[in-house]
Amino acid sequence: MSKTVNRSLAVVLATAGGLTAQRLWKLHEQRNPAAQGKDTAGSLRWNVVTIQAPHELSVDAELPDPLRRLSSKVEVRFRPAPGDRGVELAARPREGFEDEGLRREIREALRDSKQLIETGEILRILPRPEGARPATPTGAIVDLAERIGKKGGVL
Amino acid sequence: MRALVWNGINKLTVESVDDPKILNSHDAIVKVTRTAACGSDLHLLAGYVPTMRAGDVIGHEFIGEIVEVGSGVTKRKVGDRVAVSSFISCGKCFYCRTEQYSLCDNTDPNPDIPEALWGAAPGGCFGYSHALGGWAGSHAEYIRVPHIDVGSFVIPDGVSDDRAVFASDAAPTGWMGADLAGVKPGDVVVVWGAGAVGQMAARASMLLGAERVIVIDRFDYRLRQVRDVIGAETLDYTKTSVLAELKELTGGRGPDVCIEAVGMEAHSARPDFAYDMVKQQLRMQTDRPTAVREAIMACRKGGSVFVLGVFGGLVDKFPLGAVMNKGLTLRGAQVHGPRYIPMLLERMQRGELVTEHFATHVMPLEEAPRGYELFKHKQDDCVRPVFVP
Ligand SMILES: [Zn+2]
Ligand SMILES: [Zn+2]
Repeated sequence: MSKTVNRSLAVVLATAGGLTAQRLWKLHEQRNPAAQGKDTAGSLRWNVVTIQAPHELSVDAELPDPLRRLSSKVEVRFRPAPGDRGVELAARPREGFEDEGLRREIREALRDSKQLIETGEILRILPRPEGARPATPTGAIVDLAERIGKKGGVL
Repeated sequence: MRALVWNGINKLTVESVDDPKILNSHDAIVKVTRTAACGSDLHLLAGYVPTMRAGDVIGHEFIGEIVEVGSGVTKRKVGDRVAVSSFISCGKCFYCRTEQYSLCDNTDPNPDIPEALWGAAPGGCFGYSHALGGWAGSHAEYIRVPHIDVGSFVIPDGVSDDRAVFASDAAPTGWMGADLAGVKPGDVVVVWGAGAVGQMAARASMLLGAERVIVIDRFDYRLRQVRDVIGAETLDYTKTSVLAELKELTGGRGPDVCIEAVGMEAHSARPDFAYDMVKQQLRMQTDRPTAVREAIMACRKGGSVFVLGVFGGLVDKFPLGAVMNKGLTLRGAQVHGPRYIPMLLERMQRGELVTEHFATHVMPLEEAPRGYELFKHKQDDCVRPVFVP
């Protein structure tokens, strides 16, 4: 998870929720060791989602669009999930492409691929009915958090 | 269209906003005919839910008439009168397939916010902050409902709007508490909180065979509803020592099942309440766990505690020792609406489940800010304001 993304997230939650950003960030670090940047294998780590889909899904199958767009830069792996949980779809940057920006693209592509396979489409949120949105600092942070809503997280 | 918009802490206004549009093939547009304020909306109002954006349309409990459907909708059609689940579910992921609908993987477009807060993202919810998806809410003339086939249910003839509206959120939430807490015939069940959700948890416990059901609150008008409409016993915690009273009532054992239906803005006459209040106001903890703590202390050995009240973050002085040493089962959940709504609508039709008494203040949407004032300050014996757009 990108530190900048998460720090801004921490600020959103902290300013409006009242915790100090530092406290919240600390907490987040305790819960997600990977966020501490101490994960030495970080650049090689797979990001993974589990998809309710037949086990026959394999690397030979056509990649879902969101991942195919990245396929020159990422490696993709499928494997059956335990029990009745479907298939684990994993992706990671190919050697030479290990940067956080790509990591964020991968998270979004995995989440979108899962939605496409499970529900047939990617759920859109915008445009939505909304009142006047005054330019406030907390508002700007929530807007930012929403713009990058699928690129972060612990996936 | 007109909609009730959150504009900051304790600032609500009715504004003109854009009409919702069909954006995905499984969407429908519903013309809202009744929408209720929920106790958890008060947390939004008070600013305890941090990912609110000025301009957000709130509201998650509603019924209405379908006026437009997307090309992928198969089970619902224009003209259907439906109750809609407050949480949005795709119907296809592992969680939806196992009837844990509020845990849906595919309906929160901002999963990174809850993942940072809680380690994983539950599903999206209408009008309930950007952590739960940023979906526009139901306090509006029209609302877009994604995955309408999964989250909406046709209201049977003969069930009035004022009864049916609570099939959307309050009734399934209360029922789920009793069901997932494992209420069995013969049990003694205690419910903290006599709002609509607490009353529904009490009624569900009775229908599931509990021998004795006791509801705790401090507002006489709510306790009166519990006795007169629901048919359960009541305790006023400002007039008695709850723990001692419950021991006496249960032969020294403690209740078999304890359901907390209060949430992060709990009140109490005990000293730990003042402690929590101060900590929460100083923003040193995000929630007040007063009722949860009391439920855990009161529960019998080997009993079950269910947290229905909405909590957002962290609490301290949590009686973990009691959970472990007394062998308690502790659970919580956001409402798995589609799992319960069809059954509840049938019970409403048969008259087994009565909810219209919650709708103490039915008013036009334009008056919603006043409705929230009454609700928040418990004025004029307000149990729930219900808005008619
Ligand atoms: Zn609610
Ligand atoms: Zn789902």
